[in-house]
Amino acid sequence: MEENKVLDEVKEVAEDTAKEVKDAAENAAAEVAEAAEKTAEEIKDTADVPASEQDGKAAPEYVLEIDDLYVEYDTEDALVKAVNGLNLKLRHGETVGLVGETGAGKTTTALSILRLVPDPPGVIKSGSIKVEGQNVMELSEAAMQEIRGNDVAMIFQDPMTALNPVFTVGEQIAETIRLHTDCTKDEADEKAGDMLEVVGIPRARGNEFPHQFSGGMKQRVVIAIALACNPKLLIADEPTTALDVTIQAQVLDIMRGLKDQFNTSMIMITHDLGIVAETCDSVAIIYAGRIVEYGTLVDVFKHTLHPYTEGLFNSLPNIHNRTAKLKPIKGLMCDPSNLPVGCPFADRCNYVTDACKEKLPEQRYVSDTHYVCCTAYDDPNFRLERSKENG
Amino acid sequence: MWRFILKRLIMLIPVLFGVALIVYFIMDLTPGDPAVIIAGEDATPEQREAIREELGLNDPFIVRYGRYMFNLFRGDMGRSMLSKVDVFPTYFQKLPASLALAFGSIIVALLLSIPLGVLSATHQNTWVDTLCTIIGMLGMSMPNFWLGMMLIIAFSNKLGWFPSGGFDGLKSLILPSITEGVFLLALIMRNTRSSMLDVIRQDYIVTAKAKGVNRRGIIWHHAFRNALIPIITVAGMNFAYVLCGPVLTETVFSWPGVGRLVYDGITKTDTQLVTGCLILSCMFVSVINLVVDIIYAFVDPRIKAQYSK
Repeated sequence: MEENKVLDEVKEVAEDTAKEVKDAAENAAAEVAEAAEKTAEEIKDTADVPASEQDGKAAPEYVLEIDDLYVEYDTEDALVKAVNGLNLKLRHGETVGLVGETGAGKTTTALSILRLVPDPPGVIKSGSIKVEGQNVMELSEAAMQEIRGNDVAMIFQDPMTALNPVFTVGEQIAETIRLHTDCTKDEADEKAGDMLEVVGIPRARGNEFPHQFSGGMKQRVVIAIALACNPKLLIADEPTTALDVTIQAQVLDIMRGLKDQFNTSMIMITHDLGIVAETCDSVAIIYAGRIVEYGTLVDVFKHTLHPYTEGLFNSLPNIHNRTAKLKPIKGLMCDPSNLPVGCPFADRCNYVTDACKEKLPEQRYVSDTHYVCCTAYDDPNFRLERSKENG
Repeated sequence: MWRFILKRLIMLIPVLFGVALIVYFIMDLTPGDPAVIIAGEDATPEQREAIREELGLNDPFIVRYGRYMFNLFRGDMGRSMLSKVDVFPTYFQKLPASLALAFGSIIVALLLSIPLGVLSATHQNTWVDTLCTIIGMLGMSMPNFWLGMMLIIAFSNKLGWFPSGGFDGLKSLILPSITEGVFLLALIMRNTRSSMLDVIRQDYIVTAKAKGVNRRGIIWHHAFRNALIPIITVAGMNFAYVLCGPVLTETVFSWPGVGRLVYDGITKTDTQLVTGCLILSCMFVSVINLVVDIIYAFVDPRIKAQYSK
């Protein structure tokens, strides 16, 4: 009997202690979270100060800042709202993956950075795009030509059609070099040969024409053109979509190697989450022209917040359970010429509530690096199925 | 490349045989009797029969054709049945005027059509484009004999700047070249426009823009060369056409060209003359086509690669 009594007492004490520890831990965690939030705000504040207002000569922190970008295509049939208030910041040497389905506004965003949105019908309605602190919206066409291919270069989706069929690949690489550096034709040709070797093509093949190359080789040439002037920002618009899988791996390897070698920042536009996992530091999930979730690779892959992101992951085949069926996202992307008032994903969302359809969800930071645009998080207990599984 | 040219030249031989056969056959079917024209309306049947016998017109078709081809092989194109002059020198006597008109009209056409066509494409759906379209429609629908006569009235009769006819130096070349060139101008302009519009929508133009190439470089360096193929095709075909005789223009300007020579031959059923001239013209057309094909190779390396296969 006495033994039991002692045991109960011990148990009670232990329980009390445990409770205390738990409370303390919770308080500490809250404090840390608060501090983190503060830091995040501070970081945000610093970033909001324009580069020119910071101490003069220091290089801007971000190689690219897109702020509240709106792009529309004004066609005869409809006004297509391709990009709707997109925000994106990119540090030097950082790679961000821009992920979303066809028509989400990925390529339009990329073309906007170079101010190459086909006009007509495309119009950049509002917003600012700063490359190295310089707002490209305010630049003259001539100044823009200086930036294209030099500070910002682009790799296109289809290597089959991206090269001019009537010029040799050497000429096409050398052209970029001659446009942006002060050198003779011979020096440019020499450098073009070097670039070919960098992407693993023998120098001598520079005298050949695009039709003499295979698809993967052509894409390497396109990469060589893009990297010829050592750009600060490289935009890769689905660089491997048109290539078969083995060539994809080679091309990605080359890109990753060169990016590290030249410390280039990169925007990797893709709808392939595998490529993102392999190449990117951070991920921006784009839906109907807005970034709906943004965070580091770990944030987005491990601590997924947005129902759309969850849907993308569910659409992938599960390697551990080969009999499991894919769970595609139901429905189609909303018509960009007729966007709803509320969350554009609401109609396809498994967690939809009435509140979703009333107003556009705003950015909600859950950590310094991770934000989501989803009304469901108004409820502090809301969690995605995927997050519950991941623990 | 050289093998390609050689092959094409060798292929010319059967083509010319075919042309000779067809032309000779059609001329044989053409109503009209050269003997009547030679002997005159008043000649007796016996006189006509004598002429027929002399020209060998009474022989069966196969014999006449065989004889013609036999002589052709020996390098003898025969003589005109009417003027009794050898066909070969007659043709080459008329050729310079035709060549001059062909070059004159193509220069007039190219000088204006390419800039206007490119302008039209780069300013699609603006007033510039509309204006060019109107010029194009006028140029293509205006009958050139009428244009020729109007030009003669304005610049020859009223202003006296240019002669109204004949081939006598550069000055006499201007009005016929414009007359013949306007249609070509309109045609090549429309072709240039559509070809350029097609090319500037290609991905490699976006690539060039993304490299920082300026507008001029995009249009003339990157796009124009790719747009050239259809332009060369149309220009080549029409050059050949003018060379072989635009009869209406030649008639309006009393131009001593091949067209009128052949036309006269046809109306008088001068089989020897017509067949000879057409074989020679056909040869020139083939050579022009070959030149066009060679130009393709210089414009587009993909075509060049095909030739070497």
